[in-house]
Amino acid sequence: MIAYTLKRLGGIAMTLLLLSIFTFTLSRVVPGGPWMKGAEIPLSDAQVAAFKAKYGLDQPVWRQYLTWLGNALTLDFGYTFTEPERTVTELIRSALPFSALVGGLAALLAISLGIVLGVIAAANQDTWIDNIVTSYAVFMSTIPSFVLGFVLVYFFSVKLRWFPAGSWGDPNDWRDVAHHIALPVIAFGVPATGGVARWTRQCVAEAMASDYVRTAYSKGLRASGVMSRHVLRNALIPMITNFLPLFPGMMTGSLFIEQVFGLPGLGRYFVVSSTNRDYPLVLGITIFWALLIALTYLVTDILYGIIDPRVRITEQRR
Amino acid sequence: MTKRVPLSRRDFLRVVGIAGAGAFLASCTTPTAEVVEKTVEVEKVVEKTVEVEKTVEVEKVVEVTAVPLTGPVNPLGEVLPADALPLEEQYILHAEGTTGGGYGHIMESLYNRAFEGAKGQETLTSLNIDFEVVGIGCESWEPSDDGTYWDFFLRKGLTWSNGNPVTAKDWVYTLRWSLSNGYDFAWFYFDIKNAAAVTSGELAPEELGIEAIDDYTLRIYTEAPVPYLPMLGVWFEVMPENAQEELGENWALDPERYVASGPFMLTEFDRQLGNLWTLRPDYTGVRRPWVTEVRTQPSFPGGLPAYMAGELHTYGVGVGTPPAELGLVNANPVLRAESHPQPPTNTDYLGFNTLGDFEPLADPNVRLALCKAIDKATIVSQIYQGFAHPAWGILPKGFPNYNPELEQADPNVYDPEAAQQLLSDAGYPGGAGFPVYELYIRQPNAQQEAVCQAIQAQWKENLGIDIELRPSDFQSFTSAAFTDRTAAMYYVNYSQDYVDPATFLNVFRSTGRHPHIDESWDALYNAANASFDPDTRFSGMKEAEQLLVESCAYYFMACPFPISLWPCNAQGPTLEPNKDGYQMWNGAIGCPHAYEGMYWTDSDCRAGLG
Repeated sequence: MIAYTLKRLGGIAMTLLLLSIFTFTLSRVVPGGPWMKGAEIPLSDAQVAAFKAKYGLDQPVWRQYLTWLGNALTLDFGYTFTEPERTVTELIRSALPFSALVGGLAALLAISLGIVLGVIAAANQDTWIDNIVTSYAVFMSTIPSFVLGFVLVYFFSVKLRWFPAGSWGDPNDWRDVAHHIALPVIAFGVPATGGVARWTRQCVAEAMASDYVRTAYSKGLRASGVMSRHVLRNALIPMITNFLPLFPGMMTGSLFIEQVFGLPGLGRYFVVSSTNRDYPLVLGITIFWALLIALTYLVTDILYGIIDPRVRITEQRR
Repeated sequence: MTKRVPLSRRDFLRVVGIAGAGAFLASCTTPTAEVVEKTVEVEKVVEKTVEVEKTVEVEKVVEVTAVPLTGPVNPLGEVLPADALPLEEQYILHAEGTTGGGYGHIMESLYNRAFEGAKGQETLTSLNIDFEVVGIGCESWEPSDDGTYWDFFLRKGLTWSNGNPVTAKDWVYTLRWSLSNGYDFAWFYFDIKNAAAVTSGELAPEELGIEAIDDYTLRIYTEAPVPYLPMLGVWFEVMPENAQEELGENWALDPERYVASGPFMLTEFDRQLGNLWTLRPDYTGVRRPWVTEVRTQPSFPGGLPAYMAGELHTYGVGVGTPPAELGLVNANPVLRAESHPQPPTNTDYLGFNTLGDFEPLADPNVRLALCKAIDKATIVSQIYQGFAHPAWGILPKGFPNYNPELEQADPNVYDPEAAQQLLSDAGYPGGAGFPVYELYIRQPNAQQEAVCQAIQAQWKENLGIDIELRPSDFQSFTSAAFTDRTAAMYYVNYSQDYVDPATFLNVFRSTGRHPHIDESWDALYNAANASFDPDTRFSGMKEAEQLLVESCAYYFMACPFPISLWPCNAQGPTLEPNKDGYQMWNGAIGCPHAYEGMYWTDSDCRAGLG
């Protein structure tokens, strides 16, 4: 397992290296530059040259990359052009908790509610319960989260005045924060329940059709016992593959949810960094995002081995 | 001779008795009154006996609710009107960082600025709600006789938050430092002597045409007479002398180091959670806000529901607003009452690269054909649904020196047959042989893209030519259209920076951003623009605009305008209708922001909102 993990970490490092080269090159190839942000009248050649010299952008691209890489290995991704007083690392560190909290709770909501619905549907296959859950899943999958967000704000903030329309609230009062993020968590998480429910239903239904389940029933085990000890455990493996990546995807923020609810998260920087040609921020966010995804899949694989001994044995044989 | 007989006693008594009886009898009869009219003042004394109620003194407690004649007094000493809400509710929620991050002082970067609305720093001048220039950092100004410099007489008594007086040296330092440190808005000041050379590094900052004659006289020299120079002061914010060196980099983002000249102080700064500006009790300038705080966030909850829930203090609707939201606004009487059309401040237009790389476009008749093949009025009406005026020239409707007669200028007259003939005469009958060009569109919204699609369709239908649309992000567009000039044609917008025709027309000089050169136009325009006689200046600029339209190097399309909403319990002089009937929250560019003269009233006017 340790050797396997180390091997995977090596692969992740190589992936990040290739990704950084690709992103670095692409950002330099795209027209424009950080000196042009919003300028109605283009800067003169002299102004552009002065800007480039100040930030080392007048160096050959390969030398710029090597400089960046050397700093990145010490987790120094440089200063952003967009927010000149702080580094990329500081920006991510300050913005991420907001996105992580909302996204993490939304992912938990999506997975927990989705699994419950999926299991119910699978346990009542081809009944009206199954039809309702399936219809719900399809319906929810088609609703964009920001549309649901507007609807929730209209009814619960404007009409009923139960919740604020957005913002973060007082960060020193967890109750106030909870009150403020309730709607964004629901808006972000509920549409994802559809996909989780459908996938759960499929995995559980497949497992329920297996021979070992039939054997378990024939041995006299109760339905709840069969479900918990045999069905769910076997259904977990494909479910984990699908559900765990939800966390990094949602925890790094949604531009739409953050726009609708005015949340101070990381989501908007994904867009702003690109449109502003903020090279350090583009690279930093890309590498961070890739690292998060890669580590998530690594954790997924490790969990495979824990849940399914056959995977551990297969790896040992290799 | 008669002998006198003496009256006897018997006769005497007889006579008296007869006289007395006669008097008695006379008194018994009603005498006939002899009417004598005579006015006599009579003092009449009437005695009347009346019953009088006995009053008993009773101790009575009366509770009196004092009705104040004035409202609370804010930390600046300004007395709010009597109907104002308590001071703790006198704040504004303000979206900040619309450019996404940015520098703290506007003279460090305009396009990448962190703050809006000149809260912490004074500008040299500003505009009132009627778009007239007023002094903020200065009291008055006057040009020299030959128009080559202006003297600005600074406001005495204006102090920094650290107690130092704001003097001319601060203004001189600010502009010198800004232009010599890569300021992205430097072109705005290129009318100032040596500004371009200082910006490019050819000259030292000390060569810039700005000088402190004494502590309170600021002199600005210009390359040529600039009658509108005071108008440029609306963007010129002061920073303390040597601020960058003594306070350190990014001092204007740090409440610990921030030094303010304006009415508000930066007391909290957080990129994620927002900023807090607090009214300075020691502010000595002319802007006298009533609100005590401006609370800002990088982004606020979006959409009309957030506004209706009170989480936004302003909201804008326009042509891009979803029809459902427009319907909601129209159906709600409160929202309708809170809707205020704003003056158009920008113009969308089509431009052609006439420099010769694209041969057909260098021919004015080809360009005229392209212009006359576009049905502008119909396109604007259909696509903007009342949220834009057709643009006959570069100046929006209602702008000073706007010329409605340009509607009859030949390029603006839709005439497909004439267009076809022109194109045919130019050597492209029915569009045959005309190259397929790309029309670059700068970061278009849905309406701008629809307009370009309509133009594409009309050129195809009326002229038989094909073009490809190329929507581009801001920077890619700028590279293609203005820097590298590889775009044959482009569709872009320009917004005013101040309220004078020069703000628009200056950009069309050959030294501006467009791939079109016309030195004769430059000469005519510059001569008119340099005149200090308003009539001469404006008539010359009107002629210049007409020539611009007739050159067909540009085809002016639309002037969109939004509708701003703000709560009906916001009152104050900055929200009053101006001479054209406009009420503005943010002001047009350069105008006072609402915070300079509004307050929240204790009113239930929003009762029917939810």
